[in-house]
Amino acid sequence: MKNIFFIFFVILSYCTIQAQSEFSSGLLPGIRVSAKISDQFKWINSIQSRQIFIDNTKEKSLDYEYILTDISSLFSIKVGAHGIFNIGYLIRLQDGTAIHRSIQQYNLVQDFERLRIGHRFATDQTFNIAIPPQYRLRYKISLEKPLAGNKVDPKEFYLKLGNEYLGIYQSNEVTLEIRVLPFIGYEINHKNKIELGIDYRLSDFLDSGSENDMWLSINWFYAISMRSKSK
Amino acid sequence: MCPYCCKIRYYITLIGIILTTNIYGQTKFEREYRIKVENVPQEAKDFTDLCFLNQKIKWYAEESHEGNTIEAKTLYHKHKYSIEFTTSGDIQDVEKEIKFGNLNPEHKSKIMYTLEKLFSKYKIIKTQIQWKADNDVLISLIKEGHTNKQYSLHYEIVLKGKKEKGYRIYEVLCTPNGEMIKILEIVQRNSDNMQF
Repeated sequence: MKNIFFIFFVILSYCTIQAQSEFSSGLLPGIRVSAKISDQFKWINSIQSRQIFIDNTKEKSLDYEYILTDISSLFSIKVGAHGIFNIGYLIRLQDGTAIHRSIQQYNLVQDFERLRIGHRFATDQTFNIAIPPQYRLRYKISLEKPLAGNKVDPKEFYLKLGNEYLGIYQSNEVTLEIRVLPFIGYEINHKNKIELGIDYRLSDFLDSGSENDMWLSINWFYAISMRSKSK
Repeated sequence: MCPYCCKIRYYITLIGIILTTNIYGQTKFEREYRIKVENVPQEAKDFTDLCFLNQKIKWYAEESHEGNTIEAKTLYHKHKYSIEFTTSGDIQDVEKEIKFGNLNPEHKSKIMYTLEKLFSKYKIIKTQIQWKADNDVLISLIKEGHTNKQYSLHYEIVLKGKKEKGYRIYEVLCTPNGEMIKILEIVQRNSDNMQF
């Protein structure tokens, strides 16, 4: 456990050092509820909000500010032994308006001896009356390592590391964003998981001034389903 | 109490109810975790010392609805071994991981015949030899690979197989004659946290 906190501290320090230009930080709490409809289909709903505590672009850089809430609903289809296709919709409530986003994802989650690796290939399209449409192409790799035994069991902690690359197209401009997501998770039981970690986002780094966002993220995953045998 | 405090108390109670309902609603409980060698029964340690002298052994405790066991895992002569014991140190079985292609050709063809009947397509992921016998017989099997004494031999195969509902992961336990004893679909752990 000490090692985990050490890793967290190192990443935190690194992020802070990197924050030379635009930097914001805050809270990113979220709840995700998945309901198993059948062996092949699931319905996944989530709510996530964003609250800022630090923003160096503002005069009063240390201040609490509520930013937005995302509400999403996805239909999930199991494809083969390891694949999952998700299609759905997200509504972002920000500054009194609603921003709409359609989402398509293909996930590949593979179990190994003492490791679980997930790949996510995704696209999304964001629409709002006030801003030009935005199109994103995303790839994320996640690695889950149990901290006791060979697999994550109830009442056990695990380490989850994620790395995501986003290509963003908007108003004839292409930008790149990179995300690093170190998390520590706890499986309460087969249906409930809680994860706490950092969601660090680096964008506009090809230009002179990069944009750094570092969120303290806490996620609760709740599954309304039963499993017959765990691997 | 102020309305704000009431609201917080309401949400805490609601989350508590959901979590508690879940814990008691489970039908199966499985847990595996590392244990220190000091917590392993002496009989189990004696057995592994005889078989795998100077080999690094990892010890695990397993809790399930079927009972509690202790498992030793090690690598010996380039093969992964797992030895299951009762909590008092009595041996239950020995499993040795091998390549499916290296199975006894007669056993292999009989197992393949069974698998072809079960699945329209399949791909072997993992093959394990499972031995059950007296301790001295198991020691001979581990150290020399053969024995003249009686023992029970089964094959535990994990595979990706295609049936009418598409590809799934299965665990098949069969005899050397290809007779299927048990088939289990391995339902993967919930992967929502790996997707989002």
